Amino acid sequence: MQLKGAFFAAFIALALTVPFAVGATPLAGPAQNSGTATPSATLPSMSSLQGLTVQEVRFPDLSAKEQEHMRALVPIKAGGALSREAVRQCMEALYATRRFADISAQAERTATGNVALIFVTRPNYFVGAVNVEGNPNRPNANQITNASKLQLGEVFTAEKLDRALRNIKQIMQENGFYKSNVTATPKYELESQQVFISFLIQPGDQATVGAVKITGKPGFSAGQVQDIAKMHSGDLVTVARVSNALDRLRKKFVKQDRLLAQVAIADRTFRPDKNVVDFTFSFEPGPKVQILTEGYKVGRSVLKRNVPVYEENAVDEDLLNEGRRNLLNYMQGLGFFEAKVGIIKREVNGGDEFHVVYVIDPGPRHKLVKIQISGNNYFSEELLRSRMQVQSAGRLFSHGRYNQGLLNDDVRGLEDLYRANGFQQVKITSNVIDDYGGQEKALAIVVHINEGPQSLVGALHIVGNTLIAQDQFPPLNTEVGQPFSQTNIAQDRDILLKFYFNRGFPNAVFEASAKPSSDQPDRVDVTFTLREGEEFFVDQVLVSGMEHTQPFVVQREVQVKAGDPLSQIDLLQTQQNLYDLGIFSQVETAVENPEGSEPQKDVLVRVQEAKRYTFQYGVGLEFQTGQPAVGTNQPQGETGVSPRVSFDVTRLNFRGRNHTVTFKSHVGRLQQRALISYNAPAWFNSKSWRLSITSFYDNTLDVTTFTSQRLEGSVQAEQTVSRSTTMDYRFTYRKVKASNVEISPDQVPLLSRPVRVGIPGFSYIRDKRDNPLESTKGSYNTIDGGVASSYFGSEADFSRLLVQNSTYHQVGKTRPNNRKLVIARSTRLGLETVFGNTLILPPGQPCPTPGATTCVTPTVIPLPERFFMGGGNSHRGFGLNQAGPRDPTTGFPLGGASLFLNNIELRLPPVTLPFFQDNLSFAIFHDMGNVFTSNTDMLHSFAHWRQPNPDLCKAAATRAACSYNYISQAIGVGLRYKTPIGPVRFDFGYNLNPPAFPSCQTNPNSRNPLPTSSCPSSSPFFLPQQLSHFNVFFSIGQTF
Amino acid sequence: MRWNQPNSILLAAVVAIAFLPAHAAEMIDRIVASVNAHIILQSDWDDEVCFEAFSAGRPLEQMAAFDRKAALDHLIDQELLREQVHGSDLPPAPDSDVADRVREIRKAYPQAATDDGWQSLLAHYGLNEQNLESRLRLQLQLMRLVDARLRPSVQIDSKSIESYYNRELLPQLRQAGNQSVALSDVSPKIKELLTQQKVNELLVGWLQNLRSGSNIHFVGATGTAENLLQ
Repeated sequence: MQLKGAFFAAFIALALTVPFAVGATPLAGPAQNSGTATPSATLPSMSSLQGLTVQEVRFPDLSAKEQEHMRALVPIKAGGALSREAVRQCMEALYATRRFADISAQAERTATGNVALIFVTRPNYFVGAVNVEGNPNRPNANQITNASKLQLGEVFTAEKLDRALRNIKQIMQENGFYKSNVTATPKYELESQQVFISFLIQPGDQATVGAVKITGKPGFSAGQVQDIAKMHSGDLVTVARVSNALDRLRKKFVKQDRLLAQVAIADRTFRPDKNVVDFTFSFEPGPKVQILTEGYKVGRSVLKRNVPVYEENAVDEDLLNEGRRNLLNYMQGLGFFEAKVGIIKREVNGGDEFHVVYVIDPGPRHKLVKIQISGNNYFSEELLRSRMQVQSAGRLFSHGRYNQGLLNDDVRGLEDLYRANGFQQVKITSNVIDDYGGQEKALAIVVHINEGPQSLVGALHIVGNTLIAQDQFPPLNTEVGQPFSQTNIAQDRDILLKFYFNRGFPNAVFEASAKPSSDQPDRVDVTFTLREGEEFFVDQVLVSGMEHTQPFVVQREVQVKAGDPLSQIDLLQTQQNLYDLGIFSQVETAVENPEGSEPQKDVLVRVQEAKRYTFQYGVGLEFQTGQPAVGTNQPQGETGVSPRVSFDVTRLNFRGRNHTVTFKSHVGRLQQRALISYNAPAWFNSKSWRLSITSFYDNTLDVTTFTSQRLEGSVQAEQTVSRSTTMDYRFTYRKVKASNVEISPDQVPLLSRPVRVGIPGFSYIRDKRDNPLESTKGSYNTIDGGVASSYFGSEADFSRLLVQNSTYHQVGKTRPNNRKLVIARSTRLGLETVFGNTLILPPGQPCPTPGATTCVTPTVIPLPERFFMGGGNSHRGFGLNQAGPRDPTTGFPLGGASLFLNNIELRLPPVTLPFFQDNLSFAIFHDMGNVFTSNTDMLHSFAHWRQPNPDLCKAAATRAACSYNYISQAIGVGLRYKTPIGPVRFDFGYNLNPPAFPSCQTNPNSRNPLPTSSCPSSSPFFLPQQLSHFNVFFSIGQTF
Repeated sequence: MRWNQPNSILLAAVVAIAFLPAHAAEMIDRIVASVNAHIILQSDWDDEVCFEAFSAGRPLEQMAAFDRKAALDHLIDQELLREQVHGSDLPPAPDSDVADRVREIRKAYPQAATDDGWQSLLAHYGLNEQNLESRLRLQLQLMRLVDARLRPSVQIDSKSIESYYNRELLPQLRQAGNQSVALSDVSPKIKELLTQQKVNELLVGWLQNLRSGSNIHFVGATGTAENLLQ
C-alpha cells in the first residue's frame, strides 16, 4: 500500500517541482516506436458502435419486473444513441442502487444494424440473519454475533465474512478456546437478495493457565503475583479471570498509594501441545502519590470527597483540575469567595514519592447577605433567582455562594434567557457592595436589568415544502405575535427535521433567516427554508427468525407497512412492540441496502425467540418449632423438620402467541400450594383486551392452630378504553375450608377463614395522574363493583361497591416545579347491600331477632368480603384493619358493610440537606373515616365526631351495646425519601378519638381479676380496652 | 425410422443456425473497482494507462502489468483526493495554469512542434486536447489541494538546508565536475526541494489514512487488483 501511495506522491511531486539547477528532471521524450496504439487494453474499441441506435436495453439476470424498473432508471432508452458517456451514466446509475456487486456492459449488433445494449449483473447480497450454533456458555451466541460485526441489512462481502471469522476466532481465544474451529455457511436467497449466515462453533477444550511470568519491578514475587491476581497454573482461561487479575493487581498498588502504577499483560503465549497459555505481566509501580494542601487546612475526608483521584484510582491532569475546582467550590461555600487554589506537583525521595499539593489562598471570608434584582418586568424575580448560581446565605450555604466568575456566568445566563424571549437589546449589569449596611465582611450584589424592547415575530414564512403541506406540520414554537427567539427557532428546526425524518425524508435540510419587519417596528419576519430531499418508502417488510411464533403475532406489531414512508420512529416502535410481547430475546430492525440510491427500501425485521420453557426448582428443609401436632395433646406442637420442594414452570409463546402459561408449586408438610395462570394479552387480536385466568390451590397447616384448604379461581378480562381509562370484568370464585381450629376463629387470618364466594364484578379505573409513583397533579378515580349470589356458587347474597376519588393540586405558581407544594386528597366510599336470605347483623348478635340466643344460623356477608380499614394506606389513626365494629367478646375487628374514608395530605417540597441532597421531604396529613356495620349506620355517623357513649364498651354487662358509629379522625406528619421505585414513607399518625372496645380474656388481669359471668367460660375475664392514639407506619409508595 | 445422410446434414445445419446468434455480444465496458460510491470503469483504466504512458514518454506497448496496476492505484488515489476537493472550498485550477502545463508538455515532444504532429501524437495515445486539458486540470487541482493541506505543516530549518547542501548538493556537483555554488544562492531552492520531499512523505501517510477509512473494492474474479490484471 505504501508503494502505491509513494508512487502517486512522487507523481504529484514531479509536477510540484520548480525548475531547479540541480536534480531537475524534464519529462522524458516521446516514444520513438510508433507501433500499436492500443495499450494492453482488455476492451475492444467502441468506435465502431459509437452513435448506433440502441434498439433495446436488456438485463438478462433480472426478472421481468426488475428489468422494467432498471430500464426506467438508466438514462439510455430504446431509440437513443449509444455513446461511451451514456454507458458510463447507466453503469453509475445501476451501481448507485448498490444492488449489484458487478456490472458489465455488452453490445450486440441486431439484424437491423442497430445495437442491443445488455447489462450483465451479479447481485449483491444483504445480511438477513446471523445464527450461531455450538457455542459454549461464554462467549454466548449474542456475544459471538456481535463480534462478527455483521450488521443486519448491510451488503455482504467475502471480506466481511473473513473479518467476522477472524473476530469470532479472537473472542473464542480470549475466552480460552484456542483450539476452537469456526466455520461459516452462508445461505443465499436470490429473490430477496438476502444471505443468512450460520456460524458453527466447535469450541474444543478450554485452555488453562500455564506459567505466570513477570517483567518490571512489581515488588512481589511471581508466586505472590499469582496469589494477588488469583491466577494460578491450571485455572481455566477466561476473559473475566484475566481482567479480574489485572484489576486485583492494580488495586494492590492503589492500596500502596501508587496511583500511577501501570499493570498490563505484556505477552500471552499459547502452547498447543499442552493446551495452556503462558501469561507475562508487566509492572511499572510508579511513585507513591500523596495529595496534600498548603495554605489552608483541609481534612482528609474532605480531600477524598473533592479530589476524584481516589475514586478513579488514577492521577491525570483532568482529575487534578476537577479536584481543584471542587476545592474552590468548597472554599467558596465556606465564605472564602476570593479563594484561589493552585496545584504544585513535585517528586520527593528520589522519585519514589509524588506529591500533589493544592496550594490554597483562602483570602478574606465574607458572607453574601443579599442579592437584589431590579429592572425586571418580563420575568419574575423568583424565576431569575432560580436561574442563578450565586446564592445568598441560607440553609445550604451558610455564607452564601459567590465568586466573580459565577456572577459573570449568571449575568450571561440571564441575558441569554432574555434574548431567547425576544429581548435582543437586553443589558444586565452587576455591582458587588462590600461591608453592606455597615456590616463588616458582608457582601451584597445588585443586579440591574435593562430589558429593552421585546421583538415579536411579525410574520412566519415556511418555504420549500413541496411534498408536505404546512398544515400537516406539528405545532411550532415560533408563532406570529410571540417573542422572537433563536432558542425557539433551534427547537423548531429539530421539530421539523424530526418530522421529515419520520416521514421518509432522511436528507431534509432546514435553514432559518430573520429580518426586521418592514411595516411594524419591533417585529421580525422569520423565514424557514426547507429542502426536503428525496422521500424514501417501504418496499416490503421481510420478517425472519420465527420458529414457533405465529406470523400474525409479529405482523400485528410491525408498524412499517409496504408503501408507507420509511419512518425511523416506526422502526423503533416496531422493535419496542416486539420486545414488549415478551417472547423474543432479541429483535433487530434494519433497512436493507441503506446506502442504495433507490427510494424503495426493504425493511428487515429479525427476531430471535426466547426459550419457551423456564423451569425453576428447589429442594430444602424447614426447621421449625411448633410443628403441627393435630390430634395430639401437645398444644405447643413439636420441634421438627419439614422438607420443602418447589417447582415452577413458565411456558412462553403458548400456541405460537404471546400468551403465557405459568405453573407454580411448592410442597412441604406445612403447606402445599399450586397455581396455574394463563395470560393472554391482545385477546381476540385486539391490543386493548387482555385475558387472564388463574386457579390457585393452597393447603396450609398453620403452626399449632388450624388447617385451611383454599381453592380460588378467577377469570378477568381487562379492557384498555383509552390511555387513562381501563375496565376490568372478572369472575372470582373462592372456597376456603378451615379445620382442626385450635384457636378462636376470629384469630384466623382473613383469607384463611371459611368462606365460599362466587362473585362477578367489574372495575373502572380512570388514571389522569402525572406520575403514579409521585403524583403532583391530576386525578385518580375508581369504581369497583360486584354481585355475589348463590346463583354463582356463593354462600351469601350481597352486592359490593367501592368508589374512590383522588385529586392532586400544585400550590405556588411562582415556585419552580420541584419546589411546589402538593395538596393531595382522596375520598373512598364503600357500600355493601344484602338480598335474598342474607342479613346484616350488629356485632355480637347471633340471631336476626335482637336478644334471641338460639336460632337457625343466619346467612351473613362472609368476613373476608366485608370492608376493613386502618393502616398506612388507608386510615393512619388505626393499625392494620383495626377500624370499625368489633366482636364484643373477643374484641377483634369484624369489618362492616360500609366504609367512608377521607384523606388530605399536604406534601411539602424536598428539603435540600447535606448527604440527603433533595431527596427528603415532609408531609402533613389528616385522615378521617370509619367502617360501619350497615349503610344506615354510616349515614347517621357523619355528624358524630366521637364514639357514642364509650362507657357502654367498658362495662361487661353493656358491652353488646358498644357502638362504633362515628367518624374517627387522625392527624400526623410523614417523612418521604425519594427512590426510583417511589418514596420510602414513614408516617406518624395521632388518632384524635380512638375507640374503646370490650374484650373477654382467658387470663385474669389487674382490672378484673375475677371471672365475669357475661363473658364466655373459655375467656371469662373482662378487659375493656382503647385503641392507641399513636400509630407508626413504614412503607414504600405514597398513601394514595 | 432411419435417417439418411442428407437429412442429417440438413438437421445439423438448422440446429446450428438456430443456436448461432446473428452477432455475438461483445463487452464494451465493465466496473473494475469502486471507491466509496464512485466506480472506476475498465475504459477509465485504459485511458489512465495511455495518459501515464504519454506523460512518461513511454511507448504504450512497454506498459507492463505493473504499470497497469500502478495506473489503477493512481485512479483510486485521485478519487480519494477528489472527494477531499469536494469537501473543501478550493477554487478550480485557472485556465492559464492548464495552458502552461500543456505548453510545458508539448515542448518536451519534438514532434509536437507542429499542430499536426501534436494532434497525431495525442491520437497515438488515444487522447485529444480536450481530455488532456481535463486531466491536467484535475491534476493541478489535486496538487493545489495537497499543497494547501500539507505545506503549512512543513517547517524546514536552516540546519536541514545546510545539511542537504553539504551532504547532497556539493558531492553531486563535485562528481559532475561543476563548480560549487554558495549556500546563500541555492538556499531557497533547497528549502523548496526539502519542503516538497516532506510534503510527499505527508501525502503518503494521508493517502494511507484515506484508504483505510474508505470502502475500496476491486470488482473482478476474486476482488483484487492483481487478479484483475490476469
